Amino acid sequence: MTFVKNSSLSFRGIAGVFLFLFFWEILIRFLIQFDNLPAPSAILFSWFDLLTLKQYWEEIAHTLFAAMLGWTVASFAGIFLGLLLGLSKTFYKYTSTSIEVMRPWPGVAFAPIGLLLFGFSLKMELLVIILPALWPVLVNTMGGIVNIPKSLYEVVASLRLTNFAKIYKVFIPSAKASILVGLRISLSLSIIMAVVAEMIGSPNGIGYAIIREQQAMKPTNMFAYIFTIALINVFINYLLSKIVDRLSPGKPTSRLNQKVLVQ
Amino acid sequence: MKFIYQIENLFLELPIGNPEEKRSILKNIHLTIEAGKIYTIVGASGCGKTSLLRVMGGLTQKSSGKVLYQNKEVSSPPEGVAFVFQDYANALLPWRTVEKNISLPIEDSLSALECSARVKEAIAQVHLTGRENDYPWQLSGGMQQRLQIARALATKPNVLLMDEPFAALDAMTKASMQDELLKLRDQTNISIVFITHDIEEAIYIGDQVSIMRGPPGEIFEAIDISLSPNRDQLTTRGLPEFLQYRKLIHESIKGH
Repeated sequence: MTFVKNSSLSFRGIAGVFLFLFFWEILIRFLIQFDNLPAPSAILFSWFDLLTLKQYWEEIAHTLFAAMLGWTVASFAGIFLGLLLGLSKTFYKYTSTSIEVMRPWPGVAFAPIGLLLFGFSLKMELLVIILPALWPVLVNTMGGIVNIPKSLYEVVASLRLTNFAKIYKVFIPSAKASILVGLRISLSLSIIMAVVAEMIGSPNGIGYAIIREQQAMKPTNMFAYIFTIALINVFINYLLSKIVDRLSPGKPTSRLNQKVLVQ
Repeated sequence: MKFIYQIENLFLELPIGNPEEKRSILKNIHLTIEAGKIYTIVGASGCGKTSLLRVMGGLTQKSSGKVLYQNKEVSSPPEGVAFVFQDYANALLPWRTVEKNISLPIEDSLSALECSARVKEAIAQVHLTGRENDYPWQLSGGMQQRLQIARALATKPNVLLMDEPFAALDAMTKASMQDELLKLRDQTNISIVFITHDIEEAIYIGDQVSIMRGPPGEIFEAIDISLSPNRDQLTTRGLPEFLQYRKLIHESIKGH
């Protein structure tokens, strides 16, 4: 666990990346021949070219927009439903079976349905993002609420708090760490699902660009787009971890990292 | 109205495991609480002391009998009654500062000005001045319990229900908190129901000591303590009357 904890953005971690790229370069240049597996240096030059194109940035913007919009909707819905499930035994009893059945469904399986419903569009993309991204938030919110000790319920009862104050001031804050873990898993998932949706049926964004470059037989561009996704993921996760640090003083993100991995 | 609390023929049964089987927890309890007095309840652990307090605080539903607070049946935590839990660590909100923990029950109903005045007063009452912006985990155990008491006091209760509040504290802190409680009673005319298994504590702070035996818990005897109201840890505890009470209560708990 500890090596995972320290690996995110350290000197040795970054050195590892360069080492990997270096071996890849050697392998492709001198040892094996793969027509369509370019060397990292070739990918880098293609990427520099892409950086100058307005289209490249528009594609990033599209994917980011779809992922963030889908994530936001999934987050609100997930927190709301998770609270409902965690607080209402009746609601939980009636929905627990449905949830267990629905949770393992791969979101990609909804892509054809989304295509039928919405055609090649952003709506279809959002459907493919929201459905799988909902679960981590929902399950972690519910778990956070269910794990609140019974004694805390008695404390808020004896303090005669209103139901709103109980939920807003006590239950949500005490489930916060768990909710944030869910939000983080969902965020990564949203970006992945956005790319997947774009590959299947939303002619826009990075996912679509990867397919397009593949069909145009430009593997260097294709890889440049693939690495773009990785960079976006690192950047967004970094941003979120900063926000999380702000929200919970005294709780370093590394702890959250561990939790994410345990999930 | 003479009595703040009136408890008559109180019985409590709770299910054990399967719902058909029930265990008798409290049996035929009679207790009356007057304003400005401290009532201590002593008894061996597991005899039902906490259950009685929980019924009074509206946290557990009685099976039969009468539990009246200001002539009204208690079914949920009544207004004007504050509960101090034994387990202070779980009763405080770790993400809120001392100040914010205290303001939790009053911040929605009072204006910001009134609220901060109340918080300030409560902090002064329990001697936590200077620690307003600390988090509970930055406080010692005794301070955390004082914080919980401050939160209870901020609601300006008529009655304080305290469930072995000083059980986890060291002897020094315990002694000073007992004195604070006596001072509080003198200053505010508050009634306190105080559960303890420490006989000396029960006599020292009590105006009346109720002796519980169980299970099922029964109030076996209630002894009025007629020590001078000006009590002092050293002299009061050395008085012959004090030692007599101690012997009496000790024998009463043991049952011979």
